[in-house]
Amino acid sequence: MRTDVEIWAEILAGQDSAWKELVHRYEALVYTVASRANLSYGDVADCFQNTWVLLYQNRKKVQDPGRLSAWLVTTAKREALRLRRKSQRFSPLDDTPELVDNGELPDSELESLQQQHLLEKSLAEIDERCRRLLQALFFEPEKVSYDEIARSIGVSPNTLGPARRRCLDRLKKILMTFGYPDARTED
Amino acid sequence: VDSKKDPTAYPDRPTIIKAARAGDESLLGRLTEADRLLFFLYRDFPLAGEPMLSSAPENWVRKAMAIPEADTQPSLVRRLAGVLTFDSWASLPAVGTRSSAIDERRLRFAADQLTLDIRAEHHRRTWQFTARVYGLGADAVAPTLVVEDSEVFADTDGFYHWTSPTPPVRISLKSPSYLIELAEISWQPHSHR
Repeated sequence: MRTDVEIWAEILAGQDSAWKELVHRYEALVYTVASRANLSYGDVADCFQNTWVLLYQNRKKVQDPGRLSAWLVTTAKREALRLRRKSQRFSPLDDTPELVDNGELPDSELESLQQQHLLEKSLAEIDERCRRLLQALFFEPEKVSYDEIARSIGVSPNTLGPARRRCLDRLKKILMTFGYPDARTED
Repeated sequence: VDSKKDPTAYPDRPTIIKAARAGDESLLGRLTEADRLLFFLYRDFPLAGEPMLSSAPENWVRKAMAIPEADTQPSLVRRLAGVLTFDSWASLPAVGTRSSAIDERRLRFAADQLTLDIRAEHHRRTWQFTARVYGLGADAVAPTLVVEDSEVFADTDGFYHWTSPTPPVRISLKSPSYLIELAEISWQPHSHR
């Protein structure tokens, strides 16, 4: 698993495969920002595409590739606002599928989206067994007990504790690779 | 052990999550290392438990991935002319009987291996357009339709939709490897009689 900084160095060196890897890593985040900006389907597509074009065109100006997710979120938000202001000369058909809700894009929500994306991409990097366990911890209703989690992933309740600790440690290492500050777990 | 009944008992998972989300760190000193990490994760990832982020449509992602190719190989972009091969207005009935016929128009353009079908419908002072490109390879990126100065992207089913108060004269199709400029479209019915 490579950090954004490592991938970015290869992009600057002209390796198209690194660009594809970056798009794969962040497409869901950019798409989510665009699709929550109350845009038409066509403008969501424009917002998504323009964000990537802007990143590529400005690749030599990016000063901190460790904050690419923040750059993408900010750019997607600005692009969404620009598209909203754009003339409505072209508008989607009424029956065009809508991907949007009516919510705005407050910075706090964008930050939460970044965090959620960081967590999801970290979970995607972990082994299947740990992923199932951690998803049970994070994505199941809070009332589910450890015993129920153990049953749902097919392990003994006695082994859940050590497995959970091992998996959380792995997740922590992956999160730190993606930029989650170690200090947060030490404060 | 029920931590709600016995405040000295080791906190259960819902209690840890509730404290983390409330930013209440009073429990921290009593937690195991693993539960401390769980606490911080729940504190720092408030959307944990929300639906996962959705992926963008596949053709959008492919197109974004192809940006460097389009940027570094401009000389390889083929410029083609799209030729009008069918126009429903070319066979409009005589003046006086065609009022409803001019509210709908079908056009077909061809260039190389590609065919572009366009359907235009006029009502309520608005033109509604649906278009589709045929002849793309299975893995090919759907081209962008450039209508005057606006770009229209294919939806997940490969259709292009847009509306306009006035119909377009200039339409082109562009992809990382080709640019197809269609013949200019006249919207004067009399010129097709």
